[in-house]
Formats: sequence, C-alpha cells, structure tokens
Amino acid sequence: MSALHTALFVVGVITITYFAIVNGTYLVFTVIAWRSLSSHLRGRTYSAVEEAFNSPFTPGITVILPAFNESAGIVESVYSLLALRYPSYEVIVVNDGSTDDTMARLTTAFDLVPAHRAVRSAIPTQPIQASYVSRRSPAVWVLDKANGGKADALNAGISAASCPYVCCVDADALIETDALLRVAAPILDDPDNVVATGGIVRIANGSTIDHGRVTGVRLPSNPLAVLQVLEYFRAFLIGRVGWTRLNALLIISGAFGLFQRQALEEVGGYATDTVGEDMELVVRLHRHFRAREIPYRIEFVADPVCWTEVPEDLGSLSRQRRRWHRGLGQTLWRHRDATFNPRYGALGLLVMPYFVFLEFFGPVVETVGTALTIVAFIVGDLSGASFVAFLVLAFLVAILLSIAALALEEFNFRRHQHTRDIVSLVSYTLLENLGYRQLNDLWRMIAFVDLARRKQGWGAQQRRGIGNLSAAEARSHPTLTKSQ
Amino acid sequence: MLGVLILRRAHLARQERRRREMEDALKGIAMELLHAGAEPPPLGEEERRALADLLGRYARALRGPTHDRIVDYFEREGTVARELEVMTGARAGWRRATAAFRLGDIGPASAAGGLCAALEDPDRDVRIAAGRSLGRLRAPEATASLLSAAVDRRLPPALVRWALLQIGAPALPRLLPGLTDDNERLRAGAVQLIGLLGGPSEAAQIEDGLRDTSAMVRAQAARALGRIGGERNLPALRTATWDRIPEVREAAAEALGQLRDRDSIELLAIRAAGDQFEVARACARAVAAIDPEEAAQRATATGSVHLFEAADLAGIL
Amino acid sequence: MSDGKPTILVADDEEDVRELVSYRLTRSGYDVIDAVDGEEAFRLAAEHVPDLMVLDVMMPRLDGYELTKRVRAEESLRSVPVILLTARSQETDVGRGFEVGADDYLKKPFNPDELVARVRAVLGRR
Repeated sequence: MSALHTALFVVGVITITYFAIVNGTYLVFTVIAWRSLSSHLRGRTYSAVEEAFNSPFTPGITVILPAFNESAGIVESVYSLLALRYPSYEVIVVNDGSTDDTMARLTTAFDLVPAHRAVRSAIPTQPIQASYVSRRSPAVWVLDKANGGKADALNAGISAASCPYVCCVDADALIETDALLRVAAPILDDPDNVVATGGIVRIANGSTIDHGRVTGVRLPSNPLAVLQVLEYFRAFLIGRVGWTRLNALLIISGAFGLFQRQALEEVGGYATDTVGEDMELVVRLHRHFRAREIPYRIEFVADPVCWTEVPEDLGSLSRQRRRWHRGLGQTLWRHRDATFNPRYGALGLLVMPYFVFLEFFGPVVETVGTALTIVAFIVGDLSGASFVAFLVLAFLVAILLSIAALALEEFNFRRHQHTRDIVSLVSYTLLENLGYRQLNDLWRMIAFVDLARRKQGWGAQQRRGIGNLSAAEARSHPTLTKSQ
Repeated sequence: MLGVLILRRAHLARQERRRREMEDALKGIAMELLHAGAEPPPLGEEERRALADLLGRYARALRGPTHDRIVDYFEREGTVARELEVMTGARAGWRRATAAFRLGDIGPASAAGGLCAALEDPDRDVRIAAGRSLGRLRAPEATASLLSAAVDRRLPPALVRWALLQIGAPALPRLLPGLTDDNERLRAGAVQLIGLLGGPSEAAQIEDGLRDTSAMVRAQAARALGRIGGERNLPALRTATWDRIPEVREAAAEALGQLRDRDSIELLAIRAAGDQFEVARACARAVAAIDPEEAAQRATATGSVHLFEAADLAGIL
Repeated sequence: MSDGKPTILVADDEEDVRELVSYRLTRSGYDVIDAVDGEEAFRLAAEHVPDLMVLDVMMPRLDGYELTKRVRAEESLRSVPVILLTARSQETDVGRGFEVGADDYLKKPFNPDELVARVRAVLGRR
C-alpha cells in the first residue's frame, strides 16, 4: 500500500513540476515577447528598411514552390508570387511528378518554353526530366521532375537556384506582398551572420480574400479553427520570439522560410526520409554552425508573412497533429546526440532537453500525470493546498497565458477589425485549456503508437502518403507544439 | 483583462478620430506654409504639436525649397535644437533614435555634425537612424564616418550604400583615400562605392584594385569596372579571369560581359565549360551578353549546360 | 476640361503624397482628380480622360508600370501623358518607366516646384 502511495505522490510531484516548468518558461517568454515586440514596433517608426531596399545591391531571392497535383490553385499561386514586392527575385516551380494537369495549366498560363537550366550536383534528388522558362514572365522557371516528395522537390529547387538566398514556400499558402521584404530585413541588417529567417503564419479561415490578398480579418466561424487561432498566437508570438532570443529557434514554418543557399548546400539540403523535414533542417543548421563554432543567427521576424487554411474537422486536425508529433519525434531521435551535449551550447543543454522531455513526452505527463494527481487527491495522498497549486499551475496560468498572447497581438498589431472577435477569443481561452488541449494530448500520444508502427518501411510509406493526403494535410507545417 | 483591451481599443479609436479632425483643420495652414511660406497663426499647444507631426510627415515626402520652408519653421520653433539635445542626451535609446530619425526629415544641413557623432552611439537603432538621416540630408562631410561604420558593422552595409548614393558625387573625393587604407574591408568598401558613384575618370584608380593583395578588393574592383570601366581596362579584366579565387573570376567575367568585350569570348567560353558552377554561369552569361549566337554555337560545341542556359535565355528574351 | 483648366489625375496610395501633389497642382491652376490605387486610377481615367496622369510606381493592386501599360493599350487614353513618381533609385527603373510608355519620371522625395515645371513641360509638348 505504501509503495502505491509513494508512487502516486511522486507522480503528483513530477506533474506539478512539469506544469511549473512549462508554464514558467512560457511566462518568461511572454515577458520577453512583450518587450521585444514593443521595441520592434516602436523601431518601425525609425527603421531604415525602405531606404536600404532601394539598392542595386540587395541580394536576390529564389522563391521555390514545390507542387504536387496542385492543378486547382497553381496558376493563382504563381501569380501571387509575381506580385511580391522585392527588387530582384526569381520563381522556380518544381513539379514533383504530378499526375494531374498541373504542368499543362502552367504551360498555358505562363507560355512556358523548354530551356536549359544548370543544376548543381551537391544535393542528390530524383531526376529532373525537363526545365522550362516562361516567355511571358522570364523570372518564372518550372522544373519537371520525378516524384520524390516535398523535401526532394525543395532540394531540386535549391540545386537550381541562382540567387544567394532561397525562399521555400507552400503552394497553398497566401503570401503577403511585403513578405520577402520583411523576412529579408534581418539579412540586410546583418548579412554576415543571418543564415535563415521565418515570419508569422496567420490563419486565413474566415477572413475575406480579394485578388490574392487578405482584406478583412475575421474570426473563423468554425470553433476548431478559432481554437487554432489562439494556439497560433501563442506559438508564434510568444514561443518563437522567446526561442529566437536564445538563438535557438527550432522551427521556421514550412509554409514560408528564407535561407542562405550556401548554408543549405553545406548541410545537405532537406532530409527526404522524415515527416518533419522543416524542423529537422533547422536543427541541422544549428548543429552545423555550433559544432564548427561559426557565428550565425537564425531569426524570427514578428511580422505576418503568409496566411494558411487550417483543418476545420476533427479527423483532419488529428491526422495533422499526429503527423507533426511524429515529425518531432523523428527529428529529436535523429539528433539525440546533441541533447545534453555542451558542444552545442544553449541548443544542446537547454532547448533540446526541453523539447524532448516537455514537448515530446509532454502529452504523456499531462494526461497520465493529471489523472493520477486527481486520484492522489481523492485518495487523500495529496494535500488540498498542493492540489490547488496543481490546478492553478496547470489551468489558470495556462488560461492567463492564452489571454496574454491575445493581448500582445491586439496591442501590437490590431489586425482584428471587430471588438466582438476579441471578446469571443477570450471566452475561447477557457475551452482551449479545458478540452482542446487535452484532445491534442490524446492525438499526440497516438503519435507514439504511429511511430512505433511505422519504424519499418518508412520511405515508401511517405511517398505514397503524400499522394493520398488531402491538400490541407499534406502541407508539411512547422511542428506546432505547445511552446512553439 | 478583457475590459482593459476593449477600453483601450475604444480609447485609441477616439484618439485617432480626434487627431484626424485636428489635422484636417490644420492642413490648409500647413500647405500655405510649405508652398507659399505663409507664417501660421498663433496656435494652442496641442494644435502646435499636431501641426509639427503633420509637417514632419510631409517633410519626409519632399525636397527642395518646399522642404526648406519646413526646416526653417522647425528651426524657428526651436524643434531642431530640441531634437539635437534629445539625440545626444536622452537616456532611453528609442528616444535618441526617434530624434535622430526626425532630424533627417526636419533638420537643416548643419545637423549633420551632431548626426555624425550619433554614428558612435552604443545603441544600434540610434546609429541606424543617424545613418539614414545623414543620407536624407545629403551631407558629404559624413562620407568617411559612414564608410568606416559600415566596415566595422556598426551600421548595416546596405544602409551606408544607400546613404552614400543619396550624397552622390560629392562623396567621391572623400572616398578616394579609402583606396589605400590598411583595412581590406575599408578598401573593398571604398572600391564598391566609387564604382557606384563614379565614372570613367575613376576607372584607372579602380583598376589598381585588381592587383590588390586582398581577394575581396579584387572582386569589388572587377565589379566596379563593369560599370565605370572602358577599353583600357579590358586587358586587366581578362587577366583577372585567371585569378586563384573563384569570386574574383566570377566578377571579372560579369564585367567583361557588361563591357561587351568580344576578345574575351574565347577564354570565357572555356571557363563556362569547365570552371566551378558560379564562375561558369557568370562566364556563360557574359558570352551570351556579348554575342548570343556565339553562345549558342559554343554551347553545342562544348556541351556546357551553362552556355545552353544562357543562350536559351538570350534567344527567348 | 470644360472650364478651360487642364485635368490631372493623381494616383498614390500614400495620403500625404496625394494631398501634397493635389494641393500644389490645384494652386497652379489645374483641376485634380485623385485615386488611391492603380485600379481606381484606371477606372477614373477611363471615365474622365484627364489631360495628364501623375502616378506612383509602388501602389497595391496595380502598380504604376502596369497601369501605364494599360493606359497605353486603351484607345481613349493612349495619348494621355504619364509622369511616374517613385522612391526607387535604380537606373533600370528609369529605363523601365520609359519602356512602358511614361513621358517623364520624378524621384521621391520630390520637389513640388519641379513637378509643376515637368507638368507644364509635358502639357506644353502635347
């Protein structure tokens, strides 16, 4: 009996500690984010970015758009890329062996003609069968290659890029007109050190879109989408701003990321055998520079760069979250030797362990821990005071953090047009922490099972999978975890 | 919390509305001042501030006598003196930065001295604002300070390039001493900027840069000659296509293409077929720029994909 | 043009610039119509057929270059002179402006006196 009591007690302690650390970290990040965002926005009034960009020396960017069976929206996507404001850039669409009429549509819309394109051989990819350039808009090239998955398509684009920087985008993300200017700003500021940047991804569900631009920001009508809006605020505004300060930003959204081409080549491009390739790449970049003690920075720009649609039904959402968690697990496992490794500084000693124990195993601790803590209290092993502490740490603080994220967004960006929306969002914070989060934990624990099962025959699975997933699911998003 | 958010929204909205109303009323006065030099009537404290904001914004969009009238107004009001004080004395970095930025819009040429000093401010934002304002004021005397700030990375190089572009030709005499500086980055920076601002008369001095010990300087010299160089510099550029360092070869190839040097087609074509990716590409593009048909012929002859690419593009465009 | 004053269409997404230009041109004896973006500018131009257009290059929805191209392609507007305003300082931009059919090019920050002089010159030429 006493052994069981001890066990319950220990579990209770671990659980409370877990919540204390996670929410405590979040609290610290919230403070950092407040200060960082305030100075960033104040800085806008005296920033010299406009001036710096009106220059013949602004580095060119190659925008890479991987496409697989994107017949419905591919032409629109390319048009919106052509409308971007940036002094010099090119667009490379990589057709990853589409089985529909993606190529035909591109050919007609852009008057494509065959043209040779030199491609570097440093990063191996599935063969590129043909290359075309648009007669109408010579900045647009299309590479037609054998199917290899999104990562492989991106690698092909990287190998063909002629600009010193590449911007990897998703076909179904709506890119803001000034997105390139915004993410390139840290690079102009510090060209010697910045090797990668990312920006804020906003949720488009419910907002009005005109001519490929988001004109009216409204809350989605679908409750699941609203919950994700809150989640994204927390993850982007607070999580990423915080991690960037430690130069430990692990995620640059797969929907939109800017990288120094040379750096990508040095690390070997995207990994084609993992489902969380965007995070895996960033971790590899960090390790590459830290291991060689080369000064570098990976920055997060607190400005919106693109809009995406999120799943509005439980089925799609659960599949997405399971995939993200699987990707997280794969990445952490692949780079397990960096964890607790002092050679990698803050990344190895702080960030990786955080992600392993608090992010990856987090759902287990939360679910099992919460359940057993409640049992411990009922059984009388946990004092009333401790239980209250648990409730406060686990739920109240979390709700406050959600509201804080919301306040941050409102104070600094004021994108929402209707006050009604703000009230609505605040009430959703309750549902987020009492229901949505638990559901998320459940899905992520199922991901453990997925990981165990898919250990064999991974490669083949993925390739078939990409073809069968719906557009919304196939998007390889950042591994959106609680703290990111 | 929610209450605070809602109240704040309402308050800000109301504030915004008031500001707009006041501005609309003052616009006529502002315009008369700008376009005709008409002295504004006596105004209340709040109105004066609104007028100052309005004129400050207008100043950003203007230059010439109209802009000078705004500067005169702010000098008379003592605003310029105040901003200079804040820029040097305020404790908060963002205050100093805001002042430095404003001086670029509303300041007279004499503010350049204070702004140059601000290039040494410990706060990066202040330095950037000062750099931008020096560009706005087109102050040639700031040239040397701006260049060294870029070299030390106290300022982003992109900003300094912009500022010096604004200053224009008057900056040239102050850039020339940089060509013989000990610091290679400063030499490279000077070469790059002279290439941007100068003309054929500076080409000879830039050509010396092709023989510099630093690869950085040689590459910049080659690039600069592509813009300001001429026939006399072609032999040196051709030699530079043999440089040990790929970036120099690349820059030299680019320059030869820009100068349309037919005599270098042969050596460029060889490199397009055999050199490193970036160099080969630059060489191929240069050949196509000089003679697209030659590029196509040599592409078939050598099988170089870079030549094919360059020829295809030339044919399509 | 009914009251004898030439009509000028001004398009810029920045309110301040629009106001400065409009005020100055009105004061110099012209009738001014203003537009906030390229699409509106085209619509108003087609409706009123101005004697001159002053267009900002960096505008949302339809930028100055594209707008000029469209104007040149439109029967009724083909001969309307266009002056482009821009903050961009690259040589290639100036060239591009003339390529699409603009008659003149003014850099921002701009000098209102110079703008009026150019307007007079261009209108005088036609």
